[in-house]
Amino acid sequence: MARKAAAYPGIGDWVALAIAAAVALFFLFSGTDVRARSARALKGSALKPFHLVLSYAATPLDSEEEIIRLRKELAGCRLEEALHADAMTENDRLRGLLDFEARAERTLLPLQVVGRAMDRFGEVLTVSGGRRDSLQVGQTVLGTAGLVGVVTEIDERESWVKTLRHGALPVSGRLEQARYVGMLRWVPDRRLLHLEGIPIQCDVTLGERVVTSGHGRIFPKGIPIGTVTAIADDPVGLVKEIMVAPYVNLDVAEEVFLLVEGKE
Amino acid sequence: MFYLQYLVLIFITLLLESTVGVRLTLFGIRPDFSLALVVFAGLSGGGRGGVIIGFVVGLVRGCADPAWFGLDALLLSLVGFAAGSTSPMVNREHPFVQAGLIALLLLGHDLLRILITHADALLTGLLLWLKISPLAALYTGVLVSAAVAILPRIIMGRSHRAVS
Repeated sequence: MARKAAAYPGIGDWVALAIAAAVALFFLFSGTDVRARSARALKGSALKPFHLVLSYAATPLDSEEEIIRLRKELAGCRLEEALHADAMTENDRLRGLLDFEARAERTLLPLQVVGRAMDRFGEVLTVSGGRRDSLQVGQTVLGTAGLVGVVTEIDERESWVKTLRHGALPVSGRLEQARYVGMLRWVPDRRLLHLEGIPIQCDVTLGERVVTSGHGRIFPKGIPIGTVTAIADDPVGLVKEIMVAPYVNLDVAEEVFLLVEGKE
Repeated sequence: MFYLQYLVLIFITLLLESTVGVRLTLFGIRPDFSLALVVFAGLSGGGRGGVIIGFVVGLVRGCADPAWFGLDALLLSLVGFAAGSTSPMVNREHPFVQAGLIALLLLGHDLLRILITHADALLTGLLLWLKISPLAALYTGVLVSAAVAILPRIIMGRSHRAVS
């Protein structure tokens, strides 16, 4: 491995750097579509062996344990669905009487997680499913327990999802009981979301659920995000410092669901 | 031979990063094995070796987030070039030098990345950098240089005992 290194950067080193920088800058300043297509082309050809390695991730979950847990959850969901069905019929009838806008129907499209970016400043998932599956930028992605993120880039067969763990993805969240709305931002060193902008007088409790507020129209209203795990008053005494643990464990996410508005 | 060895090392590093790396998370920070590999490529292969290995690793990493495809290739090429240019001036075999160089170049890499990706919210980006990068730099530097210094001795020691 030990090769004789040049005493100073020689002309060859500078040329190599210039070529590498030029190619990298070309990719960087090309359009979104070119970037996505180039990434996919490289992944499928020259860099395929690397990505086979990169997409490998051991799952710590015991499959039998996981099946039992999912069956329990399914049973609970079926019971809940039965209870909701009656309430929904009544709700629709009342909305009709009040002339409210009809709610869009939502369906879930399962997607496989095929890769993840190892960036310290934000987590991005690569999922199977792209333009040919009618995916669009801005669509909401869910896990089995709650919000995962939003589709930010699309290719023919793959898409990239900016997750809750991305510093550049602020999510507007609502405290389900207290009804206050704030912005959620990922705090990497604590592995939690920080709910910002909640006034000091807010009567929030530990364990309270946080859902999407629907503000900004990035995410539909009412999607579960996580639970409140820590509450403190900020030093100035104007707002509360609230930490939220996300429901979805992105470390082991293998499948996610695309929320499709409209009929199936 | 150098490039062939480093291609194998890239495989191993990516495998480690996607398996062991996740379990080595400390305060939410994972060690950046691939950046450390680029630094070692620069130290042993000079500027050109560092640039080429950095570019390949950057392309692989960049594929996972096409929003910034090309940025990792650019930044890791610069890291490789910087490591290669520093190589003749330092004792590159010394673990402290390796740790220091990895930490320093990781800080620089992250700062440049933040300046580009968070150009519209620079203050937020710099706060994020202050919060994450120093710990990531220290952790990666210490962990990788310690592993490089200790692991061969353990392996060689064991094989020596087995032979004798």
